[in-house]
Amino acid sequence: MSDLINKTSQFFSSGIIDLFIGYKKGRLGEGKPAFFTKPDQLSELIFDENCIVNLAVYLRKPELKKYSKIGILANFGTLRALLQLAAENQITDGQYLILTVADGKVLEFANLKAIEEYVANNLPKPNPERLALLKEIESKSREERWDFWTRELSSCIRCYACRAACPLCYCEQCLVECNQPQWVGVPPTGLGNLEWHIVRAMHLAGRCISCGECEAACPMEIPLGLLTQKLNMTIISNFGQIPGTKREPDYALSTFKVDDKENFIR
Amino acid sequence: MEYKLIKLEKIQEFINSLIATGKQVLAPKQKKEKVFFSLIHSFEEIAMDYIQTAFSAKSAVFPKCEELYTFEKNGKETILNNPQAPENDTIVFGMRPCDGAAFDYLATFFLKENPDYHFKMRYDNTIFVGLTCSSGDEFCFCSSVGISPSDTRGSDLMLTKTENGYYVEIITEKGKKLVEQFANFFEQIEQIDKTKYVANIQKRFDSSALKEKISGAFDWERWEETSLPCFGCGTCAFSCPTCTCFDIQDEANLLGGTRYRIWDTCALGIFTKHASGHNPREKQSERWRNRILHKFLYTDEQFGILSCVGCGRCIRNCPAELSIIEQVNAITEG
Amino acid sequence: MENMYLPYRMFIEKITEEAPLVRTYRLKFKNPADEEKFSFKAGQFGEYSIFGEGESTFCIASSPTRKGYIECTFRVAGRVTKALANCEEGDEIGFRGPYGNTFPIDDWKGKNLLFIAGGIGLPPLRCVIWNCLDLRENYRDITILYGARSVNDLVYKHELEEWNNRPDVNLFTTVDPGGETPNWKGKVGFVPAILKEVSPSSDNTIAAVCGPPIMIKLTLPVLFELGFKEENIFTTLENRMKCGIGKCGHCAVGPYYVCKDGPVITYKELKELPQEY
Repeated sequence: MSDLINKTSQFFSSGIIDLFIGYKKGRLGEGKPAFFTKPDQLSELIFDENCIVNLAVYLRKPELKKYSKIGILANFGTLRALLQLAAENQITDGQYLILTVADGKVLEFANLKAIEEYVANNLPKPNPERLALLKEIESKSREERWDFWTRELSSCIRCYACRAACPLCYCEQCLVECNQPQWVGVPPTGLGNLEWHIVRAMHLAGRCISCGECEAACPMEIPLGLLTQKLNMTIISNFGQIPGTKREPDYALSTFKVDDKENFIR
Repeated sequence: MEYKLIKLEKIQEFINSLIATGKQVLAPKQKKEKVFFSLIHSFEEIAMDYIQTAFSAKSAVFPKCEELYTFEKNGKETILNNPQAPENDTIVFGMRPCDGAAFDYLATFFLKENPDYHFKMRYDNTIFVGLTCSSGDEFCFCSSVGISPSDTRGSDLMLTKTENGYYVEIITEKGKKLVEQFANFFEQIEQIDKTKYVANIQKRFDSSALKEKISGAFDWERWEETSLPCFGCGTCAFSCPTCTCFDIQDEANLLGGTRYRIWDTCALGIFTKHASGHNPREKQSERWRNRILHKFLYTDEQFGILSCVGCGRCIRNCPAELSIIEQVNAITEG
Repeated sequence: MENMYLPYRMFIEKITEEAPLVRTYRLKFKNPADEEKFSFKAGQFGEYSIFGEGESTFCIASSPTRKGYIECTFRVAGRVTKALANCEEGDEIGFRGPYGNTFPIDDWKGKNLLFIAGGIGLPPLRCVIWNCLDLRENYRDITILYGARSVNDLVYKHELEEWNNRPDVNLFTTVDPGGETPNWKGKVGFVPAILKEVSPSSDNTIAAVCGPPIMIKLTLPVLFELGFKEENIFTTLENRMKCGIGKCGHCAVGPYYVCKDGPVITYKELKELPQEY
C-alpha cells in the first residue's frame, strides 16, 4: 500500500493530478469510494480485491469539472468501463491518470492501448455460480421463467439505483424520462417495471462490462445482473464481441462489417 | 397504562389468529441478505431477531404506488371514482421504536394541514405493534435524535422480549381493542422495569451542537466535498421511514385509467427540473444538502420535529457508503 | 374527508389564440354546485388535468371579480400542455384549486400600482390587474409595463388595446430589438431599459414583477435605483409542482413550499430563502 500512496502522492506534488478517486476503508473492512484532493489525505488510501465499487461511474459528475486532471484507481471493472466509455466517445485517451495494483505492484497505464492489453491478458472466466444460476433459469419452462421475472421485478420500486450505479448509463435524458410519448410506464406496477428492466437490459446488451454494480445497488435484492449477463452471452456467442475490451468502437449492434454473416443488411 | 404478558408459545398462536381473522399482517421477513416488512401468511415467516429491516413499514400507509382515483371516459364526460378503502385492518407487527416515531412524524406531516385522504384511509386502518430493541449496530443512532430504543411513540402496542415472553404495553385505545379481541393469548401482569431488556444505543453526534450549526449550514463550504461519493441512486430516500415525496402519474387507455402517486426523491435531478430546462438543484451536492437540511432543519422549522429518527437505513443501504452520522459530525465540527 | 386530488370537472367554453403556442381557455364548471362553492383570489393557481396524460400547473389568469368562469393561459411545452392544446371548445378537462397565497390587494388600497411583465409572465398579473381595475376607485395611478420578444409574442392583444385606450391606465408595451413590425407603435428595447426610461415614481407605489428569471434579475436593480423598497416588490415563484397542497415536496425551497406558502412573494421574503428556485 505504501508504494501506491507514495506514487499517488508524487502525482499530486508534481502537479500531474489535483483529484484522485480511490478507496478507503469501509464499514466492513471493504473499500468504499473516496476522493482525495491533497497528498496528506492519502494515508487512508487502500486497494485490494474488496474494492468493488466501479469508480468510472463518478466521471460524469459535473462537480468534477473544476479539476484540471483526475487520477483514478481502477479495479478490473473500472478498467473495462473506461475502455467501453472510450469506445463510445465518452472519454479520450490521456484524459485521466489511470492506475491499478496488480500482484502488489502499482501499474500506471500509459494509454488506453495499455489498458486494452492488460484487460485482454487478465479477462476472468465467468463466475461459475452465476452461470449455474443462469442455466437454472434457462432450463425453466417459458411460463416458469415469466413467473420468476414478474415475481422478482414486482418488488422494484423504480428508484433507478441500477441506472445511477451503472458506469455506462450516462444518457443526459433517460428513455424512461421521455414522456412524449411515454414509452415506459412510470408507476412501479407490474407492466412498467417489466418494461423498464427490459429496456435497461437491452440498452446494455453488448455494452455491459459485467461489473455487477446495478445488482449491488439494487435495494430490493433483484438479480438484475442476470438480464444483462444473458444478453452479453448471446452477443459474445453470435458476434464474438466482448464489451469493455476494446478502446475503438466494436459494438455488434451498431457497427457494420462488410463480411457480416447476415444478408439483410447488405 | 395497562400491561400484559404474552408467553413465547402464545405469540405464534396470536399472530396466526390475526391472520385467520383476515387481518393483513406486515412483519419482518428474510429475503436473501436482507429483512423486509412483508405480508406474511403464518408466524414461521417472521424474522423476530433482526436489527433493522432494509425498508421501513411506511408502505403500509404510504405505498410505493397508490391510486389517487380512477377515471372512466364516457363520450365527452369523465366519471371520477375514489379509491376503495382497504377492507381489513393492517397490523404492522414488530417494528422498531425508531419506525414508531417515524409513523408519528408521518401522521403530523400528512394530517396536520391539508389532511391527506389516502394516508388517513390507511392510517386509521392500521395497528402498529412496536418491538423494543434488545440490540443495535454501529449504524443505529436513535438516541442522538431524541428517540430511545424502547420508545412507545407511534405504537399502539409495545412488545419487549423478556425471559417469560413478550411484555406488552398497551399504549392506545386501538391497541387495547386488539388485546381485548384476542384476550385469551394475554395474561395480566404488573408494570416491569424494561431497562435490562433494552439495547444501549450510543450517541453518535451532539444534537445540541448540531442545532446550533444547522440553521446556517446552507452556506457551509464542504457540501460538495463531503457528498462527492454520492452518485444519486436515491436509495437513502426510498428506504427512509420519514421521506414522503411523491410524483403523480397517469396510466390509461382510451376507456379510462388511474391517476397514481408514486414514491419520488429529491436525490434525483429531474425532481426539481423545470419544463424550461432550468434546475434549481442542478448538482448532486445540492440535492444531498437538501436531504440533510430537510431532515435536521426544515421539518423542525415547519412542525417542530426532526424528520430523522436514527434508524440507520440510509447508511446501511448506501452503495457508496455515505453516512449521515459522519455528515452531521462534519457539520458540527465546522 | 375529501379526496383533495379529485378535480372539478370543467368544460372549455372559449379558446383564444394569444401568440404562437400560447392559448387562453375559458373554463366553466360542469356541476353548478361546484361553481357555487368555488371562490379564489388574485394570485392563486390550480392544477389543470387531461385524464390519462397528467396535470399541469398554471395561475388563474382571470379576475375573481368576473364570476362564473376561470381562465388560464398556457404555452405548449410538455406532455400535458400539448394534450391541452389538442382540446376543442366543449371538451372536458379537470381543475383542482385554488391553491397558494394571494396578492394582498386590500393592503394596496390608496397606493399607486406598477405592474411589470415579460412574455408569458403577464397571465399571473392579468388576474390582479383586472381585479384592481374592477375596483378602480381603491387605487391611485396604475402603470403597466409589458414586454415580449416580438409583437406576435404579446399575449392578450385586445386587452392591451383596451388598457391603452383607458385614461386611467398608463400602459407601456415593448418588444425586444428586432421583434418590432413596421407599424408597431410601442417601444423597442428590453424591459429593464424601458423601465429606466419610463422611470415611474416609487413614492407610495407597489411593484409587481413577473416574467422570465433573467428579466426579473435585471429589473430588480432598476427598481431599487428608483427607490422601491424590498417589501413593496412582489413577484410569483414558479417551481416545478405536482400536488399543489404542500405534500409532494417538488416545489419546496427549504421549509417554504411554493404551492402553499407562495407563489406570491415579496423580494424581502425571497431574499431570506435558500437560492433554490
